[in-house]
Amino acid sequence: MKKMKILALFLAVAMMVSVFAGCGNSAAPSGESGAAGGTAAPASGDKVTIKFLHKYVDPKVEPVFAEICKDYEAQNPNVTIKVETTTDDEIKDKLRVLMGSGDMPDMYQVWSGEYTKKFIRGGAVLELTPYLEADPEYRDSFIPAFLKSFTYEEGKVWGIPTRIDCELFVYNKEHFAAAGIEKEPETWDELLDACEKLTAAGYTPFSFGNGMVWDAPHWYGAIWGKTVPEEIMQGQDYEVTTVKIDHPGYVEGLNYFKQLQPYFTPNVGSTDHEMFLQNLYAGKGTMSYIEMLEFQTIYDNMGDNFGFFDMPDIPGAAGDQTRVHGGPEGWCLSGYVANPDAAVDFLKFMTSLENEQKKAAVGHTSAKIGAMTEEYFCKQMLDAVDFMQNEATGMIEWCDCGFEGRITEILLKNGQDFIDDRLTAEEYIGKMAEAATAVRDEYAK
Amino acid sequence: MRAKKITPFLYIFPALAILLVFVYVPIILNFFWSLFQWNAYTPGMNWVGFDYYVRLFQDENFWVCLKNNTMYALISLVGQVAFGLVIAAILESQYMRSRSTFFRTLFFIPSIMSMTIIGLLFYLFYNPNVGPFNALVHMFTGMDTTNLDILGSPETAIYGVIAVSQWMWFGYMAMLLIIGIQKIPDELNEAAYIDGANQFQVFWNVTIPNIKEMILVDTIVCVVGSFKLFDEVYIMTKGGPGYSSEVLSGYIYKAAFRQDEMGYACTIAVVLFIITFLLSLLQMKVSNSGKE
Repeated sequence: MKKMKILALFLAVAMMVSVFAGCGNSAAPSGESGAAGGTAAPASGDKVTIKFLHKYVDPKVEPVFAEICKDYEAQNPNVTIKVETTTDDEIKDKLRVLMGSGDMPDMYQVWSGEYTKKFIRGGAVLELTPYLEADPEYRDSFIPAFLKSFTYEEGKVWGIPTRIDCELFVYNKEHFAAAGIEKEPETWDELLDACEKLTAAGYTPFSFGNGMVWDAPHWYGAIWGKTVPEEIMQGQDYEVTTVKIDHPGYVEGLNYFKQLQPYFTPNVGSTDHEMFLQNLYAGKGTMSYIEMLEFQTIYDNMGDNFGFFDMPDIPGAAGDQTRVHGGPEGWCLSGYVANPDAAVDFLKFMTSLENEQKKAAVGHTSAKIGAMTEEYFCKQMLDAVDFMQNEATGMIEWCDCGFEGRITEILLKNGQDFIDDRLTAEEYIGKMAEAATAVRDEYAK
Repeated sequence: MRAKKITPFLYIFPALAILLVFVYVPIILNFFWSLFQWNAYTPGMNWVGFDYYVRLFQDENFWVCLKNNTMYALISLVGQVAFGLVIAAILESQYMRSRSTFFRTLFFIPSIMSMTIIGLLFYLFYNPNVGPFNALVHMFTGMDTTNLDILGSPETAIYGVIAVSQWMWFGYMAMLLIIGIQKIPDELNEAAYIDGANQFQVFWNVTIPNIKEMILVDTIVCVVGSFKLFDEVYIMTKGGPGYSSEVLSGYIYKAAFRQDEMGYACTIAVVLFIITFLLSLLQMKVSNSGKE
């Protein structure tokens, strides 16, 4: 009996130790200790290790990143860059786990919007404003709309844009010509008119699929940008403390989407992104709403037989008609970095014009002015960058990165239900608004 | 003498320590953490008590997940255990024994294949645009399959996934049962035949009672596995359309890693643990077994 008591006591102590050890771990990223996840603070000339996590594992791109890191080490013999790579799908989970375990990399890849804001709230991002103010030439070397994507809270800059992207319609020029469509649609009515003409000419207007669940929400986000005022969508509803999702423009936007549904290729729910692109290449659909990053692939498959245009304006709607749906990927530095100056120096080196050009040479888009040239990119891609730089007044941040995670989950999971009429626009938005209330209440505490 | 008493404990200590660290302590910690609102991004944890448990039982998606797991378990008991038992009995019958190696291998192969590959294969197989499934259904039944979208329809998606699992695992279950059947002494079967029993009577009165333990193992593996189901669903439907084919493990993953609600994810995990634990106890109790 005595032995049993001793064993029970041992187990209890072991469990309590584990409990407190676990609590200590989760509290580590609170910022109380600067050493959490950072490298040891070196004196001048001491060895510095910078942990660098990125997701650019494309066989053509990854060696370029490795080469840039080696170049930096060669120029700075006291610095070691410890590179870790992961995939696009896995980096979000990986960073979440690293954040929870207090082992954040010193420099890591992020998406603009709420995704970055989560790290900022957790104290895991180094504010870059003072460094950019000290080097205005570097600050002004980026396309302003994209640097703005990482500028929050009264002009504070938290990240540097890297690969740029936005969502645009591409279309088959031959189909447009055969259907008698003389110019790219600029308004919603012109888009509907183009759909009617294409249908009459025997073409399916849109090659579309939502098998990956995020394609339809990208349409919704772009249309909401047109129907919901910017200060409501991005100002109020992309903020966890004020999010409501109660503006009538949300339902209105979904109703506009429904007007296009008769013009889609069939089996939307089980057609994934790659499949509908193949349909586009094969001429089974005339238009697709895709990311600018894919233009080079489209060019490889369609040559010059494709053009692009932005989501058409909805005259009279409450949103900003001159913004484009999208956002850049970017780099953040850890809020726990032990040697911020060294990390900033490496960040600047990684995003120097010379190195951005090296990346552009293997098809990696860039927010750096002058990095993307016709030597490496198709004309349509460069025209799209020009459009974003000179015509778009700003970005409507990706809605699946802009809303808080719980709202995004409903946005994605129920998007197909809305298409299949299992949810009305009001019910769909109602579910998101319900989640918004829970989010707001939680962060108000 | 004292040293000898301690020696066995020294040998089992490493296994005990590993179990404690990786199984029992996490189970207790998981329950503890289910009482807090917390996520990986923000420091600290807020005490919420049993609020998440109340929310869970009011969460319609949780009940959809539970229904899907239960359907999976029930169908798998028939499609894997019962069907596997029939296959095992046929392959071990005196007329098939000479050819059973070929069929055992054939039926077993799907279970050693990568779930990712199988999932992607059937994702394409069912796809109405590129897969042959709709054409086959039309060819054999004459049915109009224009709107047949197995994985894209909330009414059929979970059944599409369950069907793949049956195809994949019945051979494995049959193999376990064949091992049990082969352990039955030949004298028992011979005695039954001498007494005039036919094939079915031998199967019912000799084979099944003697492989009861193995059937129990199959049943536990099948039912507990049904509630731990994740990869098939994640690869083929990601729980969609909507939440129609979501299962509890997937819901835990989404709560933790998509919605950043670690406390709620822990709550679902606690309920999942209780369900699987009780089911295992119940099965052992009902079959009055677990002694072998």
